Amino acid sequence: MNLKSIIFLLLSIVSPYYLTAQDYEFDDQSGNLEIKTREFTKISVIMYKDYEYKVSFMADEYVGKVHFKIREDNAGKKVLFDNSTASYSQEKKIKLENTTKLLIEVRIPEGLNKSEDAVNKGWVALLIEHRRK
Amino acid sequence: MKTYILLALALLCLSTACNQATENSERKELQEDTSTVAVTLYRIPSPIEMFSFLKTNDIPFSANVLNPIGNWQNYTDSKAQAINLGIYTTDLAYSAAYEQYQEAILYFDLVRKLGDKVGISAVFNQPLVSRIENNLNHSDSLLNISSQSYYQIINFLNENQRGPQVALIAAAGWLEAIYIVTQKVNLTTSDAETFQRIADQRLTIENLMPMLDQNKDNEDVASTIEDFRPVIDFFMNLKPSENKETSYQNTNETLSVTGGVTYTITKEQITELSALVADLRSKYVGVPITKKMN
Repeated sequence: MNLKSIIFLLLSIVSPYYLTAQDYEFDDQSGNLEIKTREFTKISVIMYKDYEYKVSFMADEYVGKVHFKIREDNAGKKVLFDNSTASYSQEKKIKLENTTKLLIEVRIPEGLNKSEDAVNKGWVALLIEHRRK
Repeated sequence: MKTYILLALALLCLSTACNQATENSERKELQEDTSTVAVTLYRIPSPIEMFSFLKTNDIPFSANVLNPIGNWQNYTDSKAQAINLGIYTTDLAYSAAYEQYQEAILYFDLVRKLGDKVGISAVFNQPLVSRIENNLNHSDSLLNISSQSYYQIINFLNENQRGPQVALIAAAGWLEAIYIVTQKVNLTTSDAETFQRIADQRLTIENLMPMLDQNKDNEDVASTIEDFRPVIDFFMNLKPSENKETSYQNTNETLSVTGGVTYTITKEQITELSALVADLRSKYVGVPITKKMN
């Protein structure tokens, strides 16, 4: 058993307990997305002020880490978070003062992943979870 | 359980992907971001969020706001079937959220029957049916199964590129949730939190409209847009009570957002909305819509 297998096994055992301890619930705005290398796919979501949210991306191995941004979903489209400035972290928690519409933009980054020459598009899972404040 | 499965699958992907990406990021430099925008997808919170909110705020359950079970056989055309699948799915969520086990199982059965007619019988596979039958006395399981029903319907239709049906089911599900909340809100106590939750639906409408518009070439969707016009106009005419510039702060884990636009709604406006929604909902649940099947 190699190191990768051992890490996966441990995470698989621990993760349900970790998730339960955090009390996050699945949010139906989650979904599977087909994304591309040079194009951002945008997902407009609504987040209620009563909740804290967690946004995570999971991709096939051949896709690797995804590049995502979180923007205001209004005329200004201000960037609130860009994971390229955070070591391509694949998860972000969000707290809101007011109910807000946010844009999540995601793409396969060029130059980051091993097989980017071969990968023009791929499937990723966007997992959104929430819990009451 | 689904979340756990998702997470386990995610971890499988992520654990390998993380290693992969880390190894590769060491030997490759990022290129400049020259991406364009491919497509915009619009999502709205499921009706379940609304009912969790109502229950937390001690607003009691009423079976008399549900679409009567006997109506389902009246829905013989494609639009009525898709619309009422959305309505019954929301009624299932309402029953499940309030631990009304008997209603939940009846409405799950209806959702399954209408699902067959809409062509999504694959969603209601035997494991899902067995789980609901085995978990009638477990409120958390029932709520999860209800949530799964809604999510699986929408996800199945999205993955099969059946956008018009997604739009109709989502719109009708939202309409039923607003119908229930406007019927149940106590206007005499000025329940500020519930008022705010209703006003927040302005943002849901902003996402529901493009969901419908993207599919307006479909005859059923086009007529639904016209049906919804009074409700859409009502929300689009709400005035913002606050419009502060958004500010934000990023820590290692968390993005905190303050400010932005906030909408409010008065008792009188809720009364007006309640009438608009009840009128539209009555048209869908009570009167068969005359149109031939596709």
